[in-house]
Parts: sequence; structure tokens; C-alpha cells
Amino acid sequence: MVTPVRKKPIAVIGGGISGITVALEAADTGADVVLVEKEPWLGGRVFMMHRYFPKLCSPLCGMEINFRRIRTNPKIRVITGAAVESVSGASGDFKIALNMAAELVNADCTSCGKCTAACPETRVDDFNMGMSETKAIYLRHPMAYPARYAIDAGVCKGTKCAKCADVCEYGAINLNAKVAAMTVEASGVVYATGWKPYDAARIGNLGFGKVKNVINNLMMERMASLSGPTAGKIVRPSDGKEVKNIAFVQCAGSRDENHLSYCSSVCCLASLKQATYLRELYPDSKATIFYIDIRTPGKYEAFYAKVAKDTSISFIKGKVAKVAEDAATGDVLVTAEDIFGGGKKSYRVDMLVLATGMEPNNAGNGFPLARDADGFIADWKLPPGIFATGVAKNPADVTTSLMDAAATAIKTFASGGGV
Amino acid sequence: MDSGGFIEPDLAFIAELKKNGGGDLKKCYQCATCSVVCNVTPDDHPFPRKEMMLAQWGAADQLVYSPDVWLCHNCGDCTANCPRGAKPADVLAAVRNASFRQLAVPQVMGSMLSVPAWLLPILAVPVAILLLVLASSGGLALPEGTITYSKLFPIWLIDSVFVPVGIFAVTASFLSIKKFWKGMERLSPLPRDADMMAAVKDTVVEIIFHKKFAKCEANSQRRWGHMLFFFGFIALFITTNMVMAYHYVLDRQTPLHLLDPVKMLGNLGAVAAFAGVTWVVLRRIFGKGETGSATYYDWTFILALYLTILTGIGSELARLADMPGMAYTVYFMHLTLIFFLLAYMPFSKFSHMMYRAAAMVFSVAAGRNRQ
Repeated sequence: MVTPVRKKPIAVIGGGISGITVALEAADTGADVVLVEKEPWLGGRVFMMHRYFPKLCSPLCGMEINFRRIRTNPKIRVITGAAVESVSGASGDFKIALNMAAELVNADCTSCGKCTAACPETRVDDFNMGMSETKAIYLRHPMAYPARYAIDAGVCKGTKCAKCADVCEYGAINLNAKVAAMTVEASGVVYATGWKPYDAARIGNLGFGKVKNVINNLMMERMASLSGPTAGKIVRPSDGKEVKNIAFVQCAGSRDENHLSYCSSVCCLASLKQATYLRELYPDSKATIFYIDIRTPGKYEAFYAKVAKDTSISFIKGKVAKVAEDAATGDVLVTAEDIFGGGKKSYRVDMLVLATGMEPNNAGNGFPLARDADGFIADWKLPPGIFATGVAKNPADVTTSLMDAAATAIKTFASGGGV
Repeated sequence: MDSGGFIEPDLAFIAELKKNGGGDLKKCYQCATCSVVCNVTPDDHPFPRKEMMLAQWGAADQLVYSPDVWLCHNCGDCTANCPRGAKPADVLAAVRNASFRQLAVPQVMGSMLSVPAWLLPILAVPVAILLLVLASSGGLALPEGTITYSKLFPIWLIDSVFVPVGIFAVTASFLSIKKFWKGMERLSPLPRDADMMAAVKDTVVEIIFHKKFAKCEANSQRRWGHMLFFFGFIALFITTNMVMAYHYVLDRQTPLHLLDPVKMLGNLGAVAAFAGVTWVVLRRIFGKGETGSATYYDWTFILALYLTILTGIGSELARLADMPGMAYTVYFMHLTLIFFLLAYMPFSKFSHMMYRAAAMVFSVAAGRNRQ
């Protein structure tokens, strides 16, 4: 048996939990890895989560370990702020053209935060799902990696202002930096491009964007998170009142031919998990989960059983199809048919969470790879040397994505490119 | 059929539903979006979610004798919001189509009206009878002089054909409704203190104002077509009876002067009915699917109505234009179509008026009109 010697690294596109795991596993196997991320930081969607199901532990622990492994592994090169323009070549000899965002803040940044205090401009915080604002120069999360500030070029007034550059003691800010092109060579390419929440505003009858106290499940994660917009308090967007009576709409835009025709496989578990956030935070609170079927496959059935034991969490079989606002109180009025004989009723709750599904990030028209009918990468149709992993190819939870990422790392390593 | 807790699926019934507009019924996965978006369902045991399940199970008895199937006004809001494309509105329409056949007394009439193969034979019956009557009364030659339709068919002759046809239709309707009502009572007995008079009054008000139609969203436009036709039809019905009264009581003969109040009512009714059915036909053809899928039942009914109105208006215009050949021919067609509509009313989609009215009365009496 001859140990393969790789001339070129494996490129991983996407620095979320799947991409990070592919990079680490491939590097541990002996490959050089380039991890490319278009945002200024790694971490992706799971970094937004308050807790993982079913253990209800914070993703930050695992993420901290991952970041340390990346930082200390010389075989991994991380390129952030890099959008993939094109991938050309063939297995063993790929060229990846990157559009590099202007490096307005360089590696000399110590995250001291003086720049943010000086910055006069604000931006909507997409990491907190638009529920808060940051300055134009900001750090997404206290544990962001690389630990360096970034500037939102769409909001920053640049050299006309330069208040941040004036206060920076380390010369880490260069407002004259320009966008640049860069090429990376690779023997194999892994797409770990992940997902985004389905746009709930497109589900006309569920009130998102019209009824103020209707939010989606990622907003709920951010609210519950100590690093989120409310510092861990679950309160109503309309008046900041503590939420004591919450409802969840399962399959909000999922398993629906008018929206996402597939089941995202995680939303039931996410709602079960989020019901525990509220129950733990406010002991006198109650939650109602409206569902078509509770889908908690395999070992997750035990999690469902555990949550369902809480008598303050009730389950109603029947999908919510009408949502209205009580203008006087801001309460949300949700209508559903209780299929087990309860008839059609309206329920009054403080806040409603839409359990929206996962839409693949590669749903755009210009995406170069074969996709299935739902827009996920059709990995059985990919050319040699190119692989897809995680939610880029299938809706999946973190555990499944991790297993898939490890397998993808080995497949890419073994695909023979550059050997 | 419920026998000791077991459902015995009636597979032929499922096939009948699939053939008559319910082709997608198996796509339903019971999410109940339909029951929630429906604006005309009672809140207690709402439809059409439970009907979708009964249809999938082939529970014919519980569907054919269900008042809820008729409380549905085919708004199409359920279909528009269905996440699976199961088209509940079409499935309920298919159940009603199957009911036209199954509830018909005599049932053989229901079966004949349900298939295109019988269309020409059942159309030939009125043609043959009217020709026979014509031949035996005065021959088939066109009458001379000013066009007067009573020269072709004297009124006593018309009545001697149409009064028996009317008696047949009323008797068959009565027997079919009785069968339907008994079935509804068997599945869900009415409370002893049910106030039938109040239920009838509620239903009449509901129908006159088309209150349920007003609650439709997806197919909201149909209300106007239905209303125009409905009131046009009533005006024509009154006209027909007034003409009989003129003839037998006041000895005032047709054709009436254009400014005679009865004539004006008739013409107004004809215009309204024509506009209404035109609206329905145009929306069936050019709509964006909000009318639901159209079946043989829908088209035979709509076209029979449309042609009746068109030949009625045509007879009057041809008479006024003094074109005897055209006038008498169109008038003959008009009588044929009226015979067709009247004689087959209890077995065609036309009978929706009696089943729906009965179901509405039953529901109100049963206290199922709460929302």
C-alpha cells in the first residue's frame, strides 16, 4: 500500500459546521486544506443556535474546540471574505477563482473594540435576524473566528469618516483597501454551501411580516441566545413583554408544493427544543405545538417523549392556516382544526413561531452544479473530484451533517486527485 | 359502511370520485389547512378535511348522506391553499356528482345522466315526444301569417306535455330528497326540539342573499354570475306561471305586448340569466383554475341552461324580426331544451338546488350553522 502524496490541497467551499468538519477530518487524514468562506467569519448557521438538540448543550463548546483545531493545524488555510467566482479544471487540478472582499480590517486587529465605540454608522444585524443593529464596524459574535472586526462596506462612509482608523492603536484598519481577485489551486473540491431559512413572508396566510409577534425559528434561537438581541430573554417584538404563552406552527412552508415541497427533517426537533427554552426561562409559561405529524426519527423519538412529558407543552394535530393580530393587545390569534375531535378553533398566544424549513443556499440560477428537483446539489451527478456535503445536498441536522462531512472528507481524499 | 368498527372501503366509489373530478384525492395528507381556510364550514366538525379522509377510505355512505358536502359552495379556497394539490373543492364536487347518481329515484335515471354515452338518447326523448305531438295535432308544416307560437303548439297542447313532465320531476325530486333526508337522519339524528320553520327561514334568507357565496375568496367572482342567473331564473319562472294565469284566467293571449309587465319581467329575467350563465361559462373557460375542474355534470348542466336561454331569446328575436322558418325552428329547440332541463332536473347537476337547500335546512335544524 502506497500512501498517497497530495500535490495540491483539497478546497472546501463554505465555513459552516459541515465545511469545518470536512476541513478538519481531511487535514487529520493528511491532506492540505483550503477552507473558503464568503463571510468575514467561520461558523455558519449553527453559530446562531442557542442550543443543540437532543442534549440541549450550546454549540459554542464544540465550536471552540473546532476553532482551536483549525488554528493549531498547519495543514488548514482559512480564507474568509472570499466569494467563489468559478471552479475550473478537472479532478487533481482545479482552479478556484475567488472574489476577495476588501480587507478593510487586517490581522493586526486585537478585537479591543475601540473602533466600534467610535463608529457613527449603524447597520441591521443579519446575524440576529434583523432584530438588532450593530455599528458599521463590528464583530458578529464574541467568539467569532478569526477574531477580528469587519466593516460593512455598504454602510461605512469610508475615508470621509475614518473615525475608526483614527482610534485604532494597531494600524489594523485600512479604509483604502480594494476588492481583489485570487486563485486557489486544488486537487478536489467540496461544496459545503449550507442553507438559509425559507422566507416566511412568502407564506401569505401565516402573518410573518404583517403580524408583529410572529417570528421564525431562527429568530427564536437568537432571542434565546445570551449573545442575541435580547440577551437571552424571550420577549415579544411588539412591546418587549415576556412571552408566557407561545405557539409553534410546524411545516410552515414545508411539505407544501406552493413553497418547499420537502420535509427539512429538523423543524419538529427545533420546536421541541425551543419549547424547552421558554419553559426553563419562565416556569409559568406554556407552549402549544401545532403539527401535521411530529417527525422525530430514530433516537430522537426519546427527545420527543421527554419534552412531551411536560404538561405545559401541548400538541395539537392540525396545521395553522390563519393568523391574525389582536390590535389592542398585540396578541396573535391562530386558527387550526384540532383533528382529534376538537373542531376548528382560534387560539390566543403572546407570540407565534413559524417552524420554517431549510432552503439550500445554491438555489440561484447561476449555480454551476447539477441539482435535484428541490434545489439541493445532486451529488450522484457531480464530476470526478467534486463533492457536496451537509445541507447543500440534503436537509439534515448537525449530527447527520457531521457524519456526512467525515465521509465526504475521506471520499475526497480517496478520489485520487493529485496522487 | 361502518360495520363493527371496521371501515369497508367501497373501491368502486373511490373510482367514481376519481373519474368525476376527484382525481387527486389520494394526495391528501390530512394537515387540515383546508378546514381552516374554508369560510363556509361550521367550526364544529369542520369540512373538508374529514371528507378527504372519508373519500380516501371509500366511505360512500357517510359522504353521500352528509349535509356538509352540500354546505360546501365550491369557493376553492381549500384548493388554493392545499399544500399537496389534492384539490379538496374538486373532491367535494365529485362527491356531489356521485350523489346525483346514487340519490336519484329511480336510480336508473341517475345512471343515465352520469355518462356521455346516454346524452343523445336522453336528448332524443323530448325531440320524439314533441314531434309526435306536433304530427298528431296539425302536421309539421309551418303555420301561416304572423308568427305566433301558439299556432304551432297551442297552449293546452304544451301544457298537456309539460304538466305531466313537471309532475314527474316533482315526484322524482320529492323521492330523492326523502332518500337523502332519511340518510342524513340515520347518520346523525336531528334533535327532538329542532325548529324546522326557523331552519327553513334561515335557509331562504341565506339563499336569497347568497350569503355563503359572499364568504368565498378564491372564487369570489362566481357569486355575481350565480346571483344573476338565480334571479333571472326566478323571474322566468314567475313569467311562465303568469302567462298561464293570463291564458286560463284573464284570457289574455301571447305574444304579449313588449310593455306588458309580465313580458317585461320575462325579458329582464332572460337578460339576467343570459348574463349570469355567460359569466359562468367565460370564467370556466378563461379563468385561472379558481372555478375548479369541470366535469361532464358541470358542462351538461351549464350548456343545457345556456342553450335554453339562447334559444328562448332567439325565438323572441326571430319572431320580432319576422323570420318564420328560423323562429319556429328555434322555438322547437327551446321547448326541447326546457323539456330536457325539467324532466332530468332531479338527476342532473340542476338538482344541486334541492340537495343543497335540504342540507342547509338540515344543518341549521341540527345546530350546525355556528361559525
